[in-house]
Amino acid sequence: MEMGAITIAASETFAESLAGACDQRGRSLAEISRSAFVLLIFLRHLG
Amino acid sequence: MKERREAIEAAGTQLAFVYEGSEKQAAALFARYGLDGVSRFRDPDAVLYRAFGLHRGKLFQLFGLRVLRRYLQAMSKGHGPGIMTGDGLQLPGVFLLHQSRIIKELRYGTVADRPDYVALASLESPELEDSSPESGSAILTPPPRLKWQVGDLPDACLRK
Repeated sequence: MEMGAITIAASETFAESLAGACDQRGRSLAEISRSAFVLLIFLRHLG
Repeated sequence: MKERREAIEAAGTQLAFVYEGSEKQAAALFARYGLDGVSRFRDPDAVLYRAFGLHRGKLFQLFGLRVLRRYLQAMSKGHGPGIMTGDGLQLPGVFLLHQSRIIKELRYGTVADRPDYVALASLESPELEDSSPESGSAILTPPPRLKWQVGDLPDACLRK
């Protein structure tokens, strides 16, 4: 795994996916959405 | 996108991105578009994409006439093709989340769709910026009935 890569744990449920997804600062998506509305944009690709 | 970010954040909504490419390329691209500091989630195995029901597109969703026209428009504005990382066949999507619940969701009908991110970030009905009849292919669906309860799920962030 390259430095800075974000690891998303294998998960069985939607909620676990949010809890296991971490941004570049190590905060999980579940944690961020706990106190804020989050507009989550899924990109097709970079470049 | 920088102006949209300001409008979205002014409305009290946090912006975040999910991508499949490399962190190095993402950092450079996000900085280029004034998005450094915005939360970004690298998802090389498309775990989150699948969790949100986003799948790879069919031929007409990826290479249809609308897609070609949008590509040419982008080229005319100086947005030429770069080195692509990630899955070019993946269809994008946009979701408004709060407390681990999907409040709004928009799945692209084709990769040429251009959602109105600011409208999606508000609590009013989202619309597509391009309102031509052909653009009605983006799929806006009501939030799914959730099978799980929002509780005290432990954060499994592996970087902590």
